[in-house]
Amino acid sequence: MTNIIEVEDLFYTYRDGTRALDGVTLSVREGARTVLLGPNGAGKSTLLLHLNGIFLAQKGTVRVAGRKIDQKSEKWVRTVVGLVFQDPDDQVFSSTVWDDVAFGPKNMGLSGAEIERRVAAALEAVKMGDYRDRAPYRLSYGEKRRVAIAGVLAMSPRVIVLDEPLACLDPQGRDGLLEVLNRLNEGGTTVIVATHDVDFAAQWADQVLVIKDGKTLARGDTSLLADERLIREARLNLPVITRLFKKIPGLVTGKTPLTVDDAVVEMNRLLSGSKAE
Amino acid sequence: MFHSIFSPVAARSSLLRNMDPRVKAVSIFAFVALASTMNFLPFLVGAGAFVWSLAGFSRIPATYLLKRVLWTVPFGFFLIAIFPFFTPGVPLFELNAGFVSLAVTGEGMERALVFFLRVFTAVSALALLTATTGFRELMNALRDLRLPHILTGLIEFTVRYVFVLAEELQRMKTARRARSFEQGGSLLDRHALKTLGCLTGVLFMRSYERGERVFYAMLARGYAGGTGELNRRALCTKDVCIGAGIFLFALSLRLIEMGGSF
Repeated sequence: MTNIIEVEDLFYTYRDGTRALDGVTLSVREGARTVLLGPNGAGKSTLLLHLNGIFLAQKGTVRVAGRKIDQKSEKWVRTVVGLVFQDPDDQVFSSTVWDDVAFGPKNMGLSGAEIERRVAAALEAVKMGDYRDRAPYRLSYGEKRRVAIAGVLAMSPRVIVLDEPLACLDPQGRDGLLEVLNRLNEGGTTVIVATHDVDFAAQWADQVLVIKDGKTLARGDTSLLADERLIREARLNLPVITRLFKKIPGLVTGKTPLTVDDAVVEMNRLLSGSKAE
Repeated sequence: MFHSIFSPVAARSSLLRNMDPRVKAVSIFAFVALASTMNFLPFLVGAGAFVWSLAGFSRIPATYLLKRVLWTVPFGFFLIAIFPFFTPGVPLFELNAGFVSLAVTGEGMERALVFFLRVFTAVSALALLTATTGFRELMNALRDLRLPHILTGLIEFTVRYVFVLAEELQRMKTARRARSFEQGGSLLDRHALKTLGCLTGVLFMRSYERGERVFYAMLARGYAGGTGELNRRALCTKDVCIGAGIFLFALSLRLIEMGGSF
C-alpha cells in the first residue's frame, strides 16, 4: 500500500523558543488505522497542525498524497486532511449545529444543494441528525465532539486526524465514537488518532507511531506496545493485559498478549493444554 | 437564563415576529436613534408607550420585557441623584450640610428624567427587537444590511464563547474554594486581591489561547475570511409598511418637537 502522508525530518520551533518538533520522520499508509502515541508535550498536536497545513514546515518536508505542503498547496490540503481538535469548544463555534457542520463545505465553495446533502449525511454518520437546529452550547460534551467530527466529515477528507478524541468521554460515548471511526475506515478513509491511551492503541490500531520530545521513537504495528524498553522511554505504560502477563511469565508461551481478546485466546490454549511450542 | 436571548419569545403568528428581520432591524435602529435625541418629556413618554404597545401586539409577556429593561432603573436613580445638583436653574429646594449648601434645580430634575426615558425607550425597543427575532435571523439580517463582517463576527463569537468563559471561571472558582480560598470582603485583604489578580490574568491568557485555537480550527476547515452568502429575498410590501410606520412615528414626534416651541 502507498503512503498517504510522509513527514521527513520536520522541525518546528514556537515563537517563545520552545522546540516542539526536532526532526520527526514518519509515514502513514493509505487506509490504515494509525495511532500516534506520545506523552504530553511530545509534539503530537504541533505535528497534527502540520498535516493540515496550518503550520508550514520550518525545516524538513510534509507530503500528503505525494504533494509537498507549502503555501501553494495549503488550501488544497485542508480538503484532503480533516483535523478534529481536542476540545470541541475550540472547533464548534457557530450558532446552530447545522451552520457549524456547513462551515467547511461553504468554505470549499460547494453549491447549496450539495452543502445540504453533505451536512445531512455527516450529521447522520455521527447520529446527530435530530440536533441540526440546536445551539452548540446546549449540547453535552460528547455531543459537541460528535458535531466537531461531523464538521470535518462534511468536507469528505481522505484522511481524518483526531487529537485525543477519547478523552473525557464516558464508556458509551467512547464505543459510539469508535463505531463511527471504524465505519469511516471501512469506507476507505485513513484515520489517525493522537493519544497516550496505550490500551486503545493495542485494541484498535494497524499502525503505531511513537514520538517523544519532537523525535520519532518507533514506527511499526501494535507489537511495539509490548516492548518494555520503548514504552518506558516514551513515558507510557504497557497495556494492562500485557502488564498482567509479564508479571506471570509462566503464562506466556508465544507472543505477549496486548488485548483482552489476545489474552482469551492465550488462556484458552493454556487451559486446553495445547501449548504452542 | 441566557437562553432567552436566542429564541424569540413572541408568538409565532404575531405582527413583528413574522416581519422581515432586515426591515425590522432598520426601523427599530432608526427609532432608537430618533427617540434618544428627543427632549420633550410627553413625547418621550409617548415613544416609550408606543414600544410597549407594539410589544403587546406581538404578544410578548410584559414580565419578559420588564426583566430586560429593569437594569435601567438603578441607572435612572443615579441620574436623578446627580443631575439636579449640577444643572443650573431655578432651585426647588436647598440642602444644607454645615458650610456646604446644595441647590436642587427643577431643570436638573427634568434633564435627569429625559435621560432616563431616552435610555428606557431605547432599551425597550432593542428588547422588542430581540424578543421578536431569533439570534441567527438577526445576525443574518445585519450581514444582509452590509454590516462589516468583523462586527457580526464579533457579536457571534462573544455570544458563543461567553458561556465557555463563564463555565471556565466557575470551574476555577470552585477549584480555588476546594483549596480553602475564601473571597475576603475587604479590599485590603492582600492575599485575596492578589489571588483575584492572578485569576484575571490566567483567564485572559486562556481566552487569548483559546482564540488562537478557534482560529486554527477555522483555518483547518478551509476558512479564508469569507463573508458567507447574502440573502436576496425580495422585500414584502406589508413589512415595509410596518417598518415605515415605526420609523415615521418617531420621526413625526421628533419633527414636531423641533418645529414646535416646546
